[in-house]
Amino acid sequence: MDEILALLLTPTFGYAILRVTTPILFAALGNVISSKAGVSNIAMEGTMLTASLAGVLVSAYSRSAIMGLLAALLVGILFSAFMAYLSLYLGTKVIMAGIALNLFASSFTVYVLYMFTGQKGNSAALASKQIPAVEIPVLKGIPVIGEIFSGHNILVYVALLSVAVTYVMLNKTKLGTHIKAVGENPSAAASVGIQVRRVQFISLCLSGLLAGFGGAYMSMGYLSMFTRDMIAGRGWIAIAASAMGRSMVIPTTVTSFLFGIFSAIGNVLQLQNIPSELITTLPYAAVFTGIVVYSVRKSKGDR
Amino acid sequence: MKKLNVKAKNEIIQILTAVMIALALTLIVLFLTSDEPMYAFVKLITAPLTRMRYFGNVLELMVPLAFAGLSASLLFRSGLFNMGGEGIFYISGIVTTGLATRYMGNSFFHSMAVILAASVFGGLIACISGFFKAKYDANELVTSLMLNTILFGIGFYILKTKLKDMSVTGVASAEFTDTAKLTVIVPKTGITTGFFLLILATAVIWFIYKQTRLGYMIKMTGINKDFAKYSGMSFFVLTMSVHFMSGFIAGMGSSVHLLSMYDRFTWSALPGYGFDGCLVAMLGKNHPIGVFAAAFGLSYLRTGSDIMARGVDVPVEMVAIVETVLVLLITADFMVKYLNRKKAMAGGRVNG
Repeated sequence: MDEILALLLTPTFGYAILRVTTPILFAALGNVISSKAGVSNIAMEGTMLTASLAGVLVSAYSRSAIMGLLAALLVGILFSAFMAYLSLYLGTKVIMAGIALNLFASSFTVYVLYMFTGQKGNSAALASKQIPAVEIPVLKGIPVIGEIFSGHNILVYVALLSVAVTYVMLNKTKLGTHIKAVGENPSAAASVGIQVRRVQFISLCLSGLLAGFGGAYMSMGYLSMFTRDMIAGRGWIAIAASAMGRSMVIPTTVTSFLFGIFSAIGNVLQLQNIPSELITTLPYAAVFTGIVVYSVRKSKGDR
Repeated sequence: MKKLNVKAKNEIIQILTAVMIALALTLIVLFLTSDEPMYAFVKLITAPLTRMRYFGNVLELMVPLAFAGLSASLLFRSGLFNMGGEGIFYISGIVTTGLATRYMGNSFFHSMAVILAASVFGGLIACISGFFKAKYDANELVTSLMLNTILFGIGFYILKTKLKDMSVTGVASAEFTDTAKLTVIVPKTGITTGFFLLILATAVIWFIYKQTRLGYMIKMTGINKDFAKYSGMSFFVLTMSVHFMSGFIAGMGSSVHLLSMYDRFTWSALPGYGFDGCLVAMLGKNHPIGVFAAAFGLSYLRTGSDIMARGVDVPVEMVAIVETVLVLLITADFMVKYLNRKKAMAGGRVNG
């Protein structure tokens, strides 16, 4: 026990928390934007997965990490735009479209991967590029804090920056005001001349953009290749974080980090002599408990 | 009555159109990615009919898909978006294994007892998400998906520590005893008495929808979630009943599938049937007979693509494209709206 505690109190553990929270944070912020507009994007899992494959393929063939990243972002946006078109213009329920597209992404990525590499498990055969890590000049020199916050993949900092950008976008811009107006009362928003479907379409695309970042980070940062079903529930954990954060930017960010901490603990414990089958359930059990506790407290508060 | 017929006719036109579009898209994808697209396409469409054994495969695979589809359709129809069938398939499979590897009574009693236990267990597990949804409005989609992974972790741990047969390589349970396995009704296939259970389950659910107050409540609550509140039956009771029934059916599907097709329990990952069930439910428009037909269709398609993938350069995952296009076209109501409008305009009246 002391041994485990010792492992958790190191700067390396703090570093690991940032590392594992990043994809959850991207997807959670994406879900926040779409939820604010009243069309919760539950296809984060599938969007991230498709984007992560796009990043690997394009970076391998263009020999450029930037091109890979751009491809991942574009695919993230297109994936969400497709879902938005289905639900906003063709009348599929957004939740149904989300469920179907998540399942689709799981097989479709394997299909595309096989077409390009002849493998179904991972993209190890491709020389895909990685998005580089950066040292933060002054911060780097500070003990402990430097070790935790410096030397991360660029996208880790982009994720932290996205928190601020999303906050400002939702609270200080015209688009943000429109998004919130549409989410809270579509008829009222329409009556003052806001184009409801267009605003919802844009917010779904923005959620896809953030999922694209998350996907790119997974295959070009967190790992250096694409592996089958590599998102492994992170999209759903993000949706839980957004639900518990009541679709508000700061509480959602805090919740994402909370779940990140449990994932990181899980990773540390896996190296210990505890059955790995049970340890891998830890982050999911934390999310389950979190969402239950949150709902119980909320319903008590309502009364 | 006439209006109903028009609606049903339009839905059939919609489904047929969706199938045609999906097939056309498949052909396009094959032309883009395969060296022998026509051969692959013909294989995909006709292969399951070429041999009795292949057609047997279609019916075998249809059973878990239909059970999972029925399970999901109960929830979707009530407006509950729960995808927990996946974890229930796994954990009920573990329950099945625990009981099916023991010696117990005669053949009929043993297999029925195993299936019943797995079903009840599945129902109780489903009630976990159901309870928190019903009482505290906890997002059932998230809780059920988290439970899937948790149940898999626990189940796999039990398999490795308690049920594993040490004499075989890899992770596998001891062999199911002969009394636990279901009786094969079509020789040389995996079609067993479990198929009758599927028909029974489909009929029971159809009866519930058609004839009981619960069925009516399920439908109305799906259309407007406040309905239960104003109609006397509590939302709590409705949500719990639907979750229990859904888990019960999923557990039964898992058990029937294992006792029909397997000699040992060997799943070292989630089997995917629970998620497939969501697709089947959507394809079947949450109607039990639709689900039955959709499970057959999906199974046919998958068997076809499996046979195709053995002969040509197209991976079996290609079938996901067809499936998704089908689901999206069938769940989108634009086509039905278009047909209804056309009808109304032809008849010279709107809102007729």
